[in-house]
Amino acid sequence: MNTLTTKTVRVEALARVEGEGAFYVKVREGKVEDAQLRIYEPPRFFEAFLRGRSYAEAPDITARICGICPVAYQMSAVHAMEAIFGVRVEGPLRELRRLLYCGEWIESHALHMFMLHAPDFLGYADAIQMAADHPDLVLQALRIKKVGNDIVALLGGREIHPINVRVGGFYHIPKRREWSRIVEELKWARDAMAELVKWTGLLPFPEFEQPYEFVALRHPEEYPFNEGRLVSNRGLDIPISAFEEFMVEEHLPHSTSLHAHIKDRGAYFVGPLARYNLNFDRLSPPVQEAARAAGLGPTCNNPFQSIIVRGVETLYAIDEALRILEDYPEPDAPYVQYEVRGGVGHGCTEAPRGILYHRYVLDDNGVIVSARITPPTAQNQATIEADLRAFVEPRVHLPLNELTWQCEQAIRNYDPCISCSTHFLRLNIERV
Amino acid sequence: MAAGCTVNVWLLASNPPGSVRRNAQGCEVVKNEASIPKTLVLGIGNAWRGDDAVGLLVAQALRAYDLPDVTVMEASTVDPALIPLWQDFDRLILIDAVISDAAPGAVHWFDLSQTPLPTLVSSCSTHSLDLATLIELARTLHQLPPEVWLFGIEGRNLTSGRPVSAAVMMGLERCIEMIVERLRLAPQRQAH
Repeated sequence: MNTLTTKTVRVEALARVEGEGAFYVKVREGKVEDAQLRIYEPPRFFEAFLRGRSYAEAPDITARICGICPVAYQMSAVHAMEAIFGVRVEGPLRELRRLLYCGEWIESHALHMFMLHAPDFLGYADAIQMAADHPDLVLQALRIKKVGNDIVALLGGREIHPINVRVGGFYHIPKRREWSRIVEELKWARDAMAELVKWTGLLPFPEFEQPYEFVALRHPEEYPFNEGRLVSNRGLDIPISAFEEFMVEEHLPHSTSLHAHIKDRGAYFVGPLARYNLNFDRLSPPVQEAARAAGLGPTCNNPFQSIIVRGVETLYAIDEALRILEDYPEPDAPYVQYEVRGGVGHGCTEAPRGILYHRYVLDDNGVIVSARITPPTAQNQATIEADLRAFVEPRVHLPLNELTWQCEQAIRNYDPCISCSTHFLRLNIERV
Repeated sequence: MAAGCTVNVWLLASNPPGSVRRNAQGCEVVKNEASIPKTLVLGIGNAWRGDDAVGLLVAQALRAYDLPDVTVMEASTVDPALIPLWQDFDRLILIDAVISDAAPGAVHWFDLSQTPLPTLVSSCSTHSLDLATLIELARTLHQLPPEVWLFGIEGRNLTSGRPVSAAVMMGLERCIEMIVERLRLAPQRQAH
């Protein structure tokens, strides 16, 4: 018998999440007893693949972990290696790394915002239905996304799983003239994105705020991509080398992905919302103004509004790419020289979905002895589950289809990349 | 793009439906009214995931045939950025691994020029938009060539790091024969 408090619900597929997955919510007497984001597929053993390989292979091997955020994997890997070798990548090469990251943020955020998340808010089952009614919106989004793809293709050597990143810099530096078409497209994209940020501010958002602990990189001068200290809104302020002292991962029976939490504190939240809340003052004034025009203050605690924040970050990435390209000092050499030595190195950079931590141990010949990779989705998993608990309970009276829809939307707030944390996932809600 | 080149990057046209067709560099495309139809063969797959690589292998094999007015490309993931890749072609031939109830190596042929892919066949892609969704998105946006064929080769083993299985390699050969034969028999369309 179905009543407000006793129901059994099963949904077999969680759509529009990168990878495949499932979630399970158990409601008894109107109370949520259990909420689990389930990940079934065995871990992908990339950390084991890396053992015995040369340090120089780590950027290209780890880039294979995710087709959406390969740049993040490359960047965290090279920064960890450079920490071991004591090499600093400065000046134009450092700028080009930021440029590459801009490309990845643009393409990843545009895909998520307009192909995966926007249909939720507008009541469409998918991007195809949305495109039928809003073709101009989708075409604009695809054109913006393409600018990001083009940056990654030109500077990364190819679009998917780029191959041009190496420890110390790049293998090859494109000439200034090769960027001219991309610069023109970026100028168009800046105007278009500013309008689209306003558009996201008009979407209908559920009332939902939680007392999150946000964690992101913070740099003295910049909105963070590659460097900074790990900070939180509850006083965490540590070097990335202390990540494992404060962040704990554990295996839970329902998931093959590891659950992360802050030692003695609990779940934390990484990604665009965390970056924004901890670094609003690092955004350029025009981008801050765009955020305000979309109705955001300097902080935002509603994860459904992450679509606005992704828009703000996309605008920032477009603007930052233009700043770098307008100057574009070609470096004297494509990479910095260094000497290989053994040691332990840490890398932590801001993937589109949040901080991506790598730690490597090398022997004296630069061979990888051990590797640890903590992707953002694994770090958000406990927070997603906490959101599901808090979100479902006051909405347990909703018709099943609507509740399921809203739960999926709540998961998509995090843009979970299940292919990063493992691979497949399926959806299953149960009310008893 | 010259026939025979491997493309892991792609380009998105910015022209809305009904406007002047432009190539990826933004140059206006001028066509002869009775030109031979230009065909794009696009093999899709993950080279590192067992049978999922078969679409790439078919593309690589077809490149060696050097078919007239046929461009061969490969893509390692399904992404909206594929849409501009086929903008300037009259016929699109997609090759991908598929999973249905058929035996491994079975070759399915679908004419998607007017109708969507049957839902009982799902592409093996694990990425955010599967191939069927991408095709329908392009159709909705009026960004599909007039003719679209999909050759789906039934796969089974998608284990990371494994080669394409023997049964699926047999399907690869059949698929190549089918594509070459259908191209030979296909009517010469008027370029639009």
